[in-house]
Amino acid sequence: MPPDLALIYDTHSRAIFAFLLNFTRNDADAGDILQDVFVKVAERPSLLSGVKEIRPWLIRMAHRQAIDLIRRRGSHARAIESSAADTPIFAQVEDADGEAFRAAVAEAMAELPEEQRAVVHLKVWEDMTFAQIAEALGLSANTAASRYRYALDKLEALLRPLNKEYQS
Amino acid sequence: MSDLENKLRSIAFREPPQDIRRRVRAATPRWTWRDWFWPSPLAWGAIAAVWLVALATEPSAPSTENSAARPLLAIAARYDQSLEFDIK
Repeated sequence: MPPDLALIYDTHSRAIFAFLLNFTRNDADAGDILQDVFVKVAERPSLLSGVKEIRPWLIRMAHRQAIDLIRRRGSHARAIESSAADTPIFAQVEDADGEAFRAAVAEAMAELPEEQRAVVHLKVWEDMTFAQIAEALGLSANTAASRYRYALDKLEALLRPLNKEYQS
Repeated sequence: MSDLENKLRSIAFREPPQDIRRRVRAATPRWTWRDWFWPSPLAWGAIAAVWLVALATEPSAPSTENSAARPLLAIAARYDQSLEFDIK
């Protein structure tokens, strides 16, 4: 029986798109990779046979495609990334304070190297363990944990002025 | 989880464009009765091969001229010829 691709898409596409948007910082790239991942699954449903947890598997596939895209572009990718730094990654909110905090977080996230960003995203927004992150990103659990620690320290330092502003 | 982690987690990301869903659906191959009947060509091929081997090596098959198998073989041969003729 064919897997219900519509259900899989509806369940996981938002999370995969969020990961890709945060990783690539590029709206068009995130959309293209999301589409590629799901079209591959649509064309070859057998890819899913034996997959126990779909979300980490989809994230792994999306991450590989994103890395391939960045490598193919080479140094040009940096230029694209810097030009895409203004790409809105978070959903808009009405509340002005909330919007300011979101903008500051988006800016702070952009300061992180992409691999640290990927670890932070999977830990914070996907609630994955370091073992799961390691599996998804193809690194060791220790590396994932240390990248997360560095990234969080940096985010804390970058967002500290904003926090003080709110507290005062 | 620290305060910062909780604050980060509360931020929602943008949603994917709607047209991607439509394009993914469009790329999904249509399933037909053949997919139900013929889910695994390899498995069906293996079963057919086993049957052919079993038929070819049937130890109890009579070998005399007036056996029941001969007319069947003759019919099968004629059918093969007619298929070849059709193909030509």
